[in-house]
This record gives sequence, C-alpha cells and structure tokens, in this order.
Amino acid sequence: MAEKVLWKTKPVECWTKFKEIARERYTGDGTTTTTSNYRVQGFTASNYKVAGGGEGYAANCANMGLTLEFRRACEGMGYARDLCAYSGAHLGSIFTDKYAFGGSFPKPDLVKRGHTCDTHAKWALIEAEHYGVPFFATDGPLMYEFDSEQTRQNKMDYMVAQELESIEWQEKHTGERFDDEAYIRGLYNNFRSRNLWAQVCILNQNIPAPLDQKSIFSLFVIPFFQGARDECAQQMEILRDEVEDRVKNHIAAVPTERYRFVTTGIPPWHALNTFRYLEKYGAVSVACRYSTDLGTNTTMVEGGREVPIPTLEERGIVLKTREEAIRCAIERRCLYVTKTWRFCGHQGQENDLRQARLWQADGALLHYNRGCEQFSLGLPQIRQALLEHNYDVLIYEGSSTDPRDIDQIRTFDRIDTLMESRGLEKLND
Amino acid sequence: MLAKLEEIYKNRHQYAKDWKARTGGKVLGYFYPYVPEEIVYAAGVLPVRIMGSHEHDNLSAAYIYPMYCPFCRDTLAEGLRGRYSYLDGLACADTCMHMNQVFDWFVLNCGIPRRGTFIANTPANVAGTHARTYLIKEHLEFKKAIEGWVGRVLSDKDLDRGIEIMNRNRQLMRQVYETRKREKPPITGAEAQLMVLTSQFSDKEEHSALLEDILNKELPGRNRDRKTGVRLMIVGSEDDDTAFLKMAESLGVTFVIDDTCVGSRYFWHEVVPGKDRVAAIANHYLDSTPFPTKDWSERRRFAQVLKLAEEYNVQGVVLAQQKWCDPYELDIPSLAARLKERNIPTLFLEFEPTLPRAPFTTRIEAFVEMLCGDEEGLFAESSTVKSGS
Ligand code: SF4
Ligand code: SF4
Repeated sequence: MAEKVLWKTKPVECWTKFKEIARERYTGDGTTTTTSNYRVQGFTASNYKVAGGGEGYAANCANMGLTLEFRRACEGMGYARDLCAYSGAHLGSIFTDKYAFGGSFPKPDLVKRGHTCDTHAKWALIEAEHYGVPFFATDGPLMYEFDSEQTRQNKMDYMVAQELESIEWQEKHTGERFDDEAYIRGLYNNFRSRNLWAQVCILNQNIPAPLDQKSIFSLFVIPFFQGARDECAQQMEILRDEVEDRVKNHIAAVPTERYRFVTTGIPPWHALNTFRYLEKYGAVSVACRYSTDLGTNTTMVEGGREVPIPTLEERGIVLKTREEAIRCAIERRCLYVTKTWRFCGHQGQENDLRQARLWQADGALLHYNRGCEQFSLGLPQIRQALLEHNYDVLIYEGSSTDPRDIDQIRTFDRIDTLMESRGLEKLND
Repeated sequence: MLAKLEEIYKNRHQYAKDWKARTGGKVLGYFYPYVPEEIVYAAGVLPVRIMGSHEHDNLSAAYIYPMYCPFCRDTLAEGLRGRYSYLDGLACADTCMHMNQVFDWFVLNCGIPRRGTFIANTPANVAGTHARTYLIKEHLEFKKAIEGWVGRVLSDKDLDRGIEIMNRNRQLMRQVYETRKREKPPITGAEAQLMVLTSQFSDKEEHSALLEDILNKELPGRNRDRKTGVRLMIVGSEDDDTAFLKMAESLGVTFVIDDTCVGSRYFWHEVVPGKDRVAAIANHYLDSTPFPTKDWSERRRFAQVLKLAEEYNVQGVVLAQQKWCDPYELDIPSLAARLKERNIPTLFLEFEPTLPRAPFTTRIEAFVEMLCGDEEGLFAESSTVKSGS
C-alpha cells in the first residue's frame, strides 16, 4: 500500500472527443466506414449502420437510468426476471419502442450477430421476429485449453465458413455488394485500435494510475465498437500519447491514490458511483478484464508480462482477400488466449492473479453479476485464488443493468469495512 | 419390472460400480446427451449421465455462483459429495455454459487423468449450413480420443454395434411412449421419466432387455383402474424431478408426453445408418429435436412440441423452467403463444433442485380446475378445454 501522497491531476484532454464518437454509434452517421442505408443490428457490421447495438446500448440505458422501465416491459411480455441483464434491457427498449437517445427504437433492416454465450443468438432472434426482418447469427465456439490442434483448426474453419456465408446473406438481403476493401481497411484499423487500447491499459500499471476505472469504462467502447473507423484509430493514438504523457509526469487520475483495486467482469452500469465511493478512501480501480479485453483479446502473455497483440502492419501481414481477412480476425480471437471465460475459472484465476500482480493491486473488487452468465463464470474460484495469494477481496452482488439487484448501501458498508480494516479513513465526503 | 427401473434409479452409483466389477469395463460420465454415446458403446465403455439427486445442497455455492441454474448446481453437489469417484472418464458436449462449468470442476477435482477427459464439441446452431461439416470433424476427433483411451481402433463393425445398441433402446422407449397415447395410458409420466433416466444411467443392452419384458409382460392391461384425469404435457429445458411428477399425478392428472432432455428429446430420433458411420452419428445429433440452447432460427423444437401435444391429445402444458436458464427463458413467451393459438393452456413453473410441496400442489390444482372447466371456479372463462377421462 502506498504512502499518503497527493499526486498531480488533471482531466483527460481527449475526453470530449471520445464522448462525441461514442454517441455517434447510436445517433449519427459516424458508424459507417462506407455509406449505406441499411441498419444492421449487431456486432460485426463493417459497412452498415449499427442501429441500437446490443450490449453497449443496454449499458448506456442502465447508465441513463432507463433500465428499470425497460426490464419491467420485458417481463410484461413474459420474459423472466432473471434473464441476462443486457438482453432484458435492450428488448424492453424495443417493446416500449423507446430509444434511449430519443424517439422510437430504430427498426433494423437486418438482424445479425455473433453468438459466444447461450443467450446471444436467441436474444437477437426475438428482435428479428419482433420486427419481422431477416436474421443471421454466427456461432462462435470458445476455445478450451484441452482442445487438440485439430479441434482448434476445426473451430476456426467453422467460424470462417459462417462469416463468409453471412456476407453472402447480407448481400442477398440488401442487394448491395459487400465492400471488401473497406472491410480490410477496417480490420487493419481494428487491430491498431485494440493494440493502442492495450498500450493504454498497460500504462495504467504505473503508480499513480493515469486513468481511473470509471473513465476506462467510458473510453473502452471506442476501440471495441468503433475501432475499424479511420478516425477512431487516429483518436486512439492521441489517447495513448496523452496517457503516456500523464505517466511520464506522474499525473494521477485520483490525486489521493493510495490503494489499488483490480476488477473483473461487467460493472453495474447504473451504479458506477461505486468506483467514485472507493476514491473517498484514496482507493482506485486500475484495471478490469472486461474493459481490457471485452471478451476478445487485446493482449498476449510474454515472459509473465502482458503485451499488446501486434498490429497487422507490425506483423507484416498483407491481406488481399475477404477470406484472408476473416481468418485473420478469427485467429486473433482464437489463438491469443490471454482471457477466457471458459468454465470454472482456473484460467480465469491465472488471468486475474496476473492482472492483480502486474497492475500492482492491493485488492480485488469482484462484481457478482446476476445479469450475465458468461462474465460470472468461475467467480468463487477466482475469489479463492486471490485470497490465497493474499489479496484483499471485496465482493458485491449486483447486475449489469438491473437496479433492483444491487444493494448499494450494503456495498458501501463493505467498502467501509475493508478500508477501515486496512487503516484507511475517508479523505473527504 | 418397472420396479426394477426404480431400483436402478435409486442405486445408480452402485449400479455403475457393480457393472465395472462385473465387466471390468470403463465408465464414462457425461454431461448432456449431445455426447455421442454410439461411439462410447462402440468402445465397450459404459456412458452414464452425470446428474444431481435433488437433495439439500449446502456445498455447491463455494464453487459456483448461485445465479447458475439449479440443475447444474444440483449436479455439481453430487460430485462434491464424492459420489462419482468411480468414473474412469469424463465427457462434455459443450451444451451450455452453466453445465460446462460443472464439467470443468469435475475435470479439476475428480482425479481423472487428462487422457480420460473428452469434449465432443457440438455446434450451438445445429441448423446452420456449416454445422454438419464441423460436427463430423469433431466427432472424428472424439472417436480418435476415445480410441487412444481404450487402446484400440474402432472399426465400422464396432460403430455399427454402438449404433444398434442405441437405436434398439430408442425404438423400445418409443414403443412405451406409444402406449401413452391411449385413453388410459398404462404408464404414468413419473414412470416414463424413470424409464428414460435409467436408460441414461445404465447399460443400454440390459435396459433394452428390461423394456422388452415391460412392454410384453407388464404394460398390457396395466392401470385399467387408474383414472387418467387431465392429460398434460411437461416441457422444459430440463426436469428430472420425478417426485414432482408423482406429486402432480396424485392430483388427478397424467403426464402423457413431454419435451425434455430426460424424456422424449433424448430418444425420439434414431441414427439413420449410412456408409460413413461417424457422419451418420453426427447427422443424428443435428437432425434430432434441438435443445433450447441449440434451437435458433428454425425453432424446430416448437414444431415438435406442437406435434406431440396434438398426437397425445394434450389438454394443458406445464412449462417447467430451471431458473437462470436463458435459452429456455427466451423461448417461453413465443412457445406459450403458439400453444395458445391452438387453445392449449399453459402453466409456468419455476424449478429448484428441491421443491416446496404446498405451493406447487396449489398451482397444479388450480390449473386442473381451469382445465376441467369448473364453471363456478376462478378460471371459469378459460374453460374451453375438454376434461379428461
Ligand atoms: S455475455 Fe452476458 S451479457 Fe452478454 S449476452 Fe451473454 S449473458 Fe448476456
Ligand atoms: S437447464 Fe438450461 S442452463 Fe441449466 S444446464 Fe440445462 S441448458 Fe444449461
């Protein structure tokens, strides 16, 4: 634990620009790398507008205090109270025909999405059925450490074949040719954006941390959701330079930093003030696997350290065809297994222990998220491993979007107890 | 003979241990019936489905966050009680994240060597264009791994034998289910479920021999005096709670058909033999009624539920939900709507490993009253459905 010092601080300068770009995903034309009138619901759109989006949109709804209404609407349609928190909020917004950013929910022309947890495709199917529009989902089996080389190959071939099919499907339903050139350019940008994001996250290993968790949660949507855009890749470079500069000049996100947390999984988007509460004690959350990776990989492990996955330019990869590009995108997901959700958490344990060590944490803040079956995998084992390695572990139960599932008073009480037991008093109120 | 099934069910672990002692063979525990048992039988190994026992669980929460489905927590608890120590191998088919977590716990804690651990990766979108190629390749990998484990190559003859064992058992269970279409089914829903569960727990050749006896000697003329009452169907992601079925069937109903993975979905379709045995097996797993986790765009499962409801002259459907099972939860409103279009009322019940008797009794009784068209009753306006015999 660090001594009580007061670091220099200042706001992140490119913040406003990032905020603007993030909003464009839901409101403007900025989501496209080429222009098109089609609204494709889902992750993978390279040259179509994304209407609404799924998880990111639901997170925004929660942050804007809309999810209680949306979740209730979803339950009113007969869906379970314990349904995945993102899907419940998103579907509720559709059922109420109320768009968080104003007006009616934008009707998609097509619904297309990737499926890596048991919920994804069915959630999207309900949306497609609701609007009566074509539906396509690509099945993305997760990698498992015991997979044979052949199985790894089989999984990748399977995913490549589906992605290629999805493009034909898109062309058929839109009558428009898929723009391979734009897609490939987007992929180079995507690798670059994520590489830069990994650099930013790694810079946060420094003491004091140049960024706090709440800011990280605001910034990370750009590399993951819009990283294919030229403008975003450029902005990521500006962000990396700024964070590098903050490190060099010891500019802290939280001037009172004296205790460091790491966290894992999806936060309660409606209760991000939990992170601000920590700061009253000079405690800062400095890294979260969810915001570092978002379920894909941005880093790889080399000699016990996490380093950014190189860009395609750095690897000297020249992509010429659609198939080469798709395979390359899929390989990133499959071959760099820094992060895995898989099963009961022994890989999760390794990842979270490494994160705690590298990001110089004193403790871990674990969100027992009732709203996500994927990012809550193995939590008890992860907790156990962290305790065995002498990290403080603070758990709190909640949901990524449902305010009914969190008891914030109790969470704050727990924070008070832990901090006081470590001899830390509140610095301000 | 039906009593024998009950005995196997109650002593399933002892049954497997005895089988090992008797045959000197290996026992492979598996999670979810997408593991190709044909290949396991071809290797002379006994596949047994790993499942819980509906006992009070104060063990699993230390390993699995209680927002995972009760069925998988119950299964984990059975492992934590040390009751699966006799297993030689473990297999999983990548069916859902909840159960994969339990599989992983078994892998790490059951002391089974790495080479006794198998994954028969199954596509999540069984109706997808590329699912077939992928699954055939993965079944070949599974076969190769099993061959490495048992130390011999599985010939076409071995695979034919595996297919034959499985298909024979499927045919016999279909025959038993056929009798449930009768006005007076000779077998109750709880007994039918015991039959399917024991098929998953025991040597299928022995099970088939028992079924032949049951069909020929026990079922004819059975239950003549039992009142069938309201004919119900149970539909679930999962429902292995035989005690619940027994309780409900004591209230003037009979479950005449089901769509669950411990019921019809497990055995309804046979492997259609083909020159390429592995492809024939893979085709079977893709073409059977999909589990909710794997039933996307086509919603083939709904068609099967509606077909069965009609064929078995069902008056009402119990939608049995394992809390937290998203894929099934996402089906329920659409499925209930489709049943409603056919004037089939539904009762939604949320399951935990152990169920409180009183509230479930009340709900079943209320549902029965509604279905019987009790004109004075609370549900009088819904009395469009004819009452049972
Ligand atoms: S990963 Fe979690 S939040 Fe996303 S769809 Fe699956 S359950 Fe929902
Ligand atoms: S009931 Fe649902 S969540 Fe539970 S193991 Fe089965 S498919 Fe998975």
